[in-house]
Order: sequence, then C-alpha cells, then structure tokens
Amino acid sequence: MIDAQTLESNFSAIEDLAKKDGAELELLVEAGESLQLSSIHGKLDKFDSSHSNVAGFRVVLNGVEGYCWTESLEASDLQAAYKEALENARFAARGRSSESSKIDTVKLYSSTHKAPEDQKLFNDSLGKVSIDEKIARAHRIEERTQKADERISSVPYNQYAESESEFLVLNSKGIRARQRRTSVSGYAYCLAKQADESRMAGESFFVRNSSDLADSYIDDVAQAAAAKALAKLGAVSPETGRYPVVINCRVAAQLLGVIGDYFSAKSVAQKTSIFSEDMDKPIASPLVNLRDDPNVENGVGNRTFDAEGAYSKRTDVIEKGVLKSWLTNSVYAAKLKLPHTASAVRSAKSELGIGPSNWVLEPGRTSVEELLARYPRVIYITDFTGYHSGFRAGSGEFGFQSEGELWENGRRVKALCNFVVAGSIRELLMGVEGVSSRMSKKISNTLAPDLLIGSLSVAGA
Amino acid sequence: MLSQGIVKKVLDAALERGAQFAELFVEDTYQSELTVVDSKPAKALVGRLKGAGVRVFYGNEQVYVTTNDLSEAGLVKAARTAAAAKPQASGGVTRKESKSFTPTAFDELHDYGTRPWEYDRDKKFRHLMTMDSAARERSSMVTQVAPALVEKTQRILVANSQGVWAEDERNYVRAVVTVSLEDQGERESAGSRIGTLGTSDWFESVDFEDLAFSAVDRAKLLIHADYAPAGEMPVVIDNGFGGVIFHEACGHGLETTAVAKNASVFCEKMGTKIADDCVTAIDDGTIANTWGSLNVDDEGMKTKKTVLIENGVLKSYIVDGMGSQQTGFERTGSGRRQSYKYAPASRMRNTFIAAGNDTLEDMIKDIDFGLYAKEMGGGSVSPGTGDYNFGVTEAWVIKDGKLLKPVKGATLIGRGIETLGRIKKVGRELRLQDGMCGSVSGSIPTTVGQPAIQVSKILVGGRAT
Repeated sequence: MIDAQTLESNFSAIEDLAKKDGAELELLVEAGESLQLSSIHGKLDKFDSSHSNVAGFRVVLNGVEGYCWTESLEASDLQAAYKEALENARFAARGRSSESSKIDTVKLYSSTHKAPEDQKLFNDSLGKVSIDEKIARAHRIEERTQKADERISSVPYNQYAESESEFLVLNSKGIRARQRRTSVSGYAYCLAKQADESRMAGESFFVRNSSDLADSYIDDVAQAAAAKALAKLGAVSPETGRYPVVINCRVAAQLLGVIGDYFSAKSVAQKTSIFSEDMDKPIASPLVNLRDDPNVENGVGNRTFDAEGAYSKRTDVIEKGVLKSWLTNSVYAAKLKLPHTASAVRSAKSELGIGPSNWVLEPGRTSVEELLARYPRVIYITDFTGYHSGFRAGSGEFGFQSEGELWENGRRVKALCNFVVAGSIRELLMGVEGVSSRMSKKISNTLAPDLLIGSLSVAGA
Repeated sequence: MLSQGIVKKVLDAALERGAQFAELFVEDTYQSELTVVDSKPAKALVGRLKGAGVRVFYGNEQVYVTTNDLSEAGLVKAARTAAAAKPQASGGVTRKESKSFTPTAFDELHDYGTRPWEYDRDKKFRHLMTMDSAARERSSMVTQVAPALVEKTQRILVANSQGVWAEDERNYVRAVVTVSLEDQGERESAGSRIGTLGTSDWFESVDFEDLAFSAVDRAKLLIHADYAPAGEMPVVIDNGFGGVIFHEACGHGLETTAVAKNASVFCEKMGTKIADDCVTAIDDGTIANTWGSLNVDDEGMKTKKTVLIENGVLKSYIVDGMGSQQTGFERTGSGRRQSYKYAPASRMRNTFIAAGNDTLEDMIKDIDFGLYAKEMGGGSVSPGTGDYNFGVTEAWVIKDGKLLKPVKGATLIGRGIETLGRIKKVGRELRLQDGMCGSVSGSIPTTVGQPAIQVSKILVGGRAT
C-alpha cells in the first residue's frame, strides 16, 4: 500500500532540511483500505469503500514538539507539512522559561534493540473472497438475526467490515518500523418487539482472517444478538436501593476502556489521574490484576511496536490490587524518571500520547453462575450506556444508564431496565468480591471477566 | 476546486453500470488545534484533509467510495469502483449520462473574516494564556487548566448527475477550557466552551476570562456538594445546552436515517400529537453565523428552516436525499457529513424548542421535591427504543418551590417519546449552545437550544442510600 522506497527517499530529503533547521524529525504514516457493508430489509443499505493515506510529522526543535499532518504523500506536500510542523514547534516554545525547558525537553526515541518475532497480524485473505460473497455475508448477518425469532422486528444496525492497514514510523534517530494488519469484523443489533414494548441488543465479532468467517460463525452472532434482545422483553425498573451487582464481562471490558487513561504517566504528569498519588498502594481488591499485554492470542490490540517504534512488551499495572506501574512513552518515562513501557500511541493526525495494546483484567476461578448465587439478591448488569455522559473523569464518579437482570438465590427472576448504577471507580475496584473464570469476547483491545461488586447504588422507579 | 469537465467524466464513469444517480463530493479542509497545559503550549497540531467521495444509487441501495487521489485518473477509478459494486438485484445496465450543471444559487448567509492561517499566532497564544491565568487566579484549588482553540476551514464542492453544482466554504472556531480542582482530598473538574460558524477574528469578541471563570465556579460549587437524589421526580431543565435533551431524546428519532429503517419510535407518527401544545420544535440551518448553520448541505441543497413539531403535532422529519427516496418525504436540506470520508445522512443543524410563555421561577415554584438541571452534559440515545441518557454538570435540589442545594452525579434517563409528552411548561428565554453530534455520517457541529422547560417526571440517577 505504501511505496516504502519513495517514502524513505522523501523522508531523507526532509531530514536534510531538518538538520539545517536544527530540528529532529519523526514521521508516522498510515495507509489503509477498508470496506463496510450493511443490509436493511435484504437490500444493501451501505457499501462504503475507502482508500486513505495520512502522514503526520512530529518535529522536535530545541526540545519542543510541533505537529502537522497531510493526506498527500507527494514530496512537495510532505515538505510543506514538515515546515508547518516546524512552525508549530516554534509556536509551542513560546512562554517557556529556561527552567521549565530543562524539565520538559523532549528527545526523539532511539534504540538498538532487536525486533521481536513478527506477530503475523497481516494476511492476504481479504483478496481471496469475492465482493459478491462479502455482500452476501452482510445480508446473511441481517437475515439470520431477523429469522432467529418471530419477535425480532428488525435489525436496524448491522455491519460486515474488513480492512487492511499499514503503519510506518521513521525518525531521524534511525528508527524504521513497519506493521501491517488485516481485520474482519461486524455486528448485528436487533429490535425485539412484544405488544408496545421494544428492546434492542446486539453482538459483535472480530477475526483476522476472512477465511475464518464460516457461516456457523455468523449464525452464532445472529443467535446471540437475538437472544440478548429477547431476554430484555418484559423488563421492569428495579426499586431504588443498594444492591450487590455482577457486571457482565463485556460490560466490564468496556469500563476498562473508559478508565484506562488513569494509568497513563501523561495523566499523572498533567494531574488528571485519580490514582496519581497511589503508586505501590492498594487501589483495588486483591482479586484485581491488570496488565497491558501486546501478545494476547488473537488479540485485537496486539502490536509489535508502539507509535515511537519501540518494541512492545507486557506491563503489569495492578498486582493483587496494588498499583505497580504507569504506562509510559519515551517522553514521559524521561520526564518522570519511570521505566519505559513502550506504550506510545499516536495516529498520523494526533499528538503523541500513551495507551495500552490490550488491557487484560485477569480472570479468576469462579463461574459467573457462582457469582450470581453469592448473595440472595443480585442485579446482573448486561448493559451500561452513555459512557461519555455518565462518567466524570475528574472525580472518577459515574452514573450509567443500565439494563440487566434480577437474580435471587442463584436464579434469574426477571429482566430489568430503566435504572442508573452509580458509584466511583475507587469504590468499584475496591468492592470487587469475585472474578469469573470467563473472559469477554475478543472484539476490542480490552478484555475482562465478570465482576461481583459487593454494593453499588441503583436508582430505579 | 475541479473543472466541470473532469467532474462530468467522473459522474459518467459512476453511472456506466446503470446507477440511477451519481454524486461527487470534494473537500479541502484546514484544521488547527492549539492547547496549553501546565501554563505552557502543549499541542500545536495543524492538518490538511483533502479527498473525495463518489456516491451512486441503485434504487434504494447506496454505494460510497472515497479516495485521497484527486487527479482525474484517481477520481475516475473511484467512480468505477463505485459503479462496479452494483448490487446483483438492481437490474440490467441502462447507461445514463449526467446532466449539465446548474450552480445552486444561494445568498451567503454568514460573515467571514480572517482565516485561521492568517490570524496572528501570538494573539492565539495570548487568548490561551488568558484562560489559563484567569482560571488559576479564580481559585487556589485549581490544579490544572487545559484551554484550547480549535479552528477549521472547510471548502467543499458537491456535484451530481442531476446537474447540481454547489461550492461552499464553512469556517468554524471554538474556544474550550477544562479545569481540575482539588481540595481536602476531593477532586472535581468542569469545562466551558463557546463556538461559532465564523473565522478567527471572532476570538476578539470572546470573553476568555469569563469562560475560564464559569468552569472554575462550577467545579468549586460541586467539589464538596452532596450527591443527587435517586428516583423519579419532576425536573426543570434550564435553557441553552439543556436542549440536548430534545436533540437526543427526539431529534435523532426524527432523522430519516432511523425512520427509513423503521428504527424510530416516531415512525408512523407524522401529523399526530406527540407532545403538549406548549411544544414547538425547529431545526434551522439558516441562522447567520451559528454553529450548526450552512449555506448548502452536503448534497448541494440550499439549507432551510424546518418546523419539526408545531404545538405538539409532528410536522416534519429531518430528511436527506436517500431518506427522501426511501420514505417519500421532501428533503429538508439536512444531508450532512463530517468529511468526504462519510456518505451524507439526515442530520440535525440548529435544533431547538421554541420560546413559550412561562418563567423559570414559576417552574421551580411549582415543585415540592425535584431537580433543577442548570447545565447539561452530553448524552446519547438508542433511536430504535428512544431510550436516552444525559449527564447533568450542574444540578440543584428543589424543595418546597425553592433551590435547596447544589448536587453532583445526576444522570437523567428515560424514553424520548414519553419525556416529550411530559414537558408541561416552556420558558420565555431561548438560548442556543454549540455542540458536536456523533452519528452515522461522523461527528458534525450542531447547535442545541431551548428555553427552560419543566418535565413532570424523569428518572434521576443520583445515589441511593
């Protein structure tokens, strides 16, 4: 997808310009092709095919960064983008005292480490499946979900998607890193109707190889989506009160994505992490173990190197409830004198940040059924909605619109809807009383088991 | 941006396998984001988005192909890719040619001045530092201030096989500040923002100190506040961003994107009473220099003002080209997209509940125990069920007709069509507020707004004891 030779030659010419300007240079290039298909009432509702290139410069001038990106990889456009990034670095140098400059000086990453084994995130399977078969798969997702039960009235949100992408990092310290990826994913969200009541639920999938997407796989997704929606019919609002709560593993994985930034050294430096003073202190129940792992089997977020070109590695962030490590990139590792965890993230259109490959909250040895039977009355949370509006990152408090089930003495009693589960992230993590052996499906880069929380606020009717 | 000759070749290539309609959308966008953190410039990020999308219709089926390659060959290749994706069921090949172009006539509704690349960067830096120092001086509890200036100039061309040719420029500028406070082990954060459809010279009119003060004052108010009560109660939602409740709870359900899929609770409700007489709701793209306004939409249609609900009766959906074809309702100039990377869809512009006759004081006076939502946060909705949720960023308990105390952690949830029916009073003072709306065609600038409203019952997700 990317003509690496031409790009290297263009980069080399800009490196010469940067030397004259006294600047250091990092170029991140993303290229990709993607296809998204969806089906409504057996007709093609969406056929979106895209081909894109983006090049993003990060220029360091006298220890200060400036950024610019462009969607053209032509030599002249790359040079213009470099010059704009240089100007932005000059802008960013304003208002810095010599004292603060010493603390905040940024250096580009350099390394002599050997590359680890290739993760084989790329394959050529997409080209081996005809476009007609891909369209048929989109129709199949809708049709099989619709036919799963007569109470499924429609499948308004469904998708079959695939992409091939390439990611290159080049810097003037000699870093040259290249990663290609293939993915096939999709989802079905259906409406179940009964009298005047309608409930929506869905299921998603992710595979790396298009050939792995057998018909039976789509059937399972369709059946699961329909079963979830049907299970919600007849739901009522629970009484307001405090309840023991079991958070479904998929929901727990989503929550992990919401709070993950608290473990970034950048958040610590910018005083936005609620855990910034808690290194080596207990911040969760001893049952909680959290790691960033770039080598999960079939992991969505697997990576060989990070956005600075540093080779990725496992970092244990919480061990038996105790905070043990921040995630760092080379800049914040130097700034806060912390171990470098190779956790740089950046798209060509963004600034350098910090983020995980895969967040993994480790499973326990208990079945979810045992967790649900631990108390005489338990609310099982199957959906949280409104993560962006219901979460206040500054204080770590949340109030999420929820759906779920009431369980009594280990038996499901009824479906629940129209309630808000509220608390704080500290309260939630410290309150973990059980961790299931089952893990969430690999459909995102956060993975978690079901969690039993001793008591949380439930606002209902 | 491109000659008519090249565009015609592209559209004809898109039609060569029998599509009934072809459209080319070309975009050249400059965008800049400058931020300060720790009282120092933190991010200076500038980018140039340049590309095109070719869309074809085969009946009610739509194919969309994007490319960064704006050469004639690149565009024709994208058009042929779109043509080749022809669904099998769409019949034989009856090749059409695109009609000759007639530029869409419109009066420029908005005043523009200094573009972002022309505006002095030192001034931008001073604006950012004004927010930073104002926030820090406002309270010793402030531990972090993150102000940002965001600017965007989008030039577009939309042409289609029916002869539409529309070129437009949209300029957006926005100032945002987020503050973090800490006191006696408690943490709180809050943000303020203001934005307009305009150019960078608009910054001269912004009171950056006031913007920073309002964020700090809100965080101070909440840092030691009790939690909101939990349960169903009457709620008064103040004007401005309070309008997000209509946007999420009802607006998305009125978009043909949901209606055409039979995935809206408002399907089959046209012409029926869906709200109290006091409710009139409007989606207006024509308000000068207002965040969600346009000249022409992203399908090349002149924008307009659309009355959605009049005195409680549903009068119009929000309709784009494909939505019109699928539902039979007239287009409302509401085809919008984040960029060329998205096919257009029916989307809101400046959407608000029109002013009524009540006062905020009277609405509060009515209530024995309830909640006053002074400032709303973001929200979301499932259009299929109408279930919505919102965060409230500043809330007060109402007791015996008076404001008792500020509270934090309030989330409002409910079902849009039910809540709409529970709006019992509408205030006199309409205020609009800029926001960003994410949906099928990406994240776009939309305005929400309303006067204060009184809702007889909403479930408040505070803390149960």
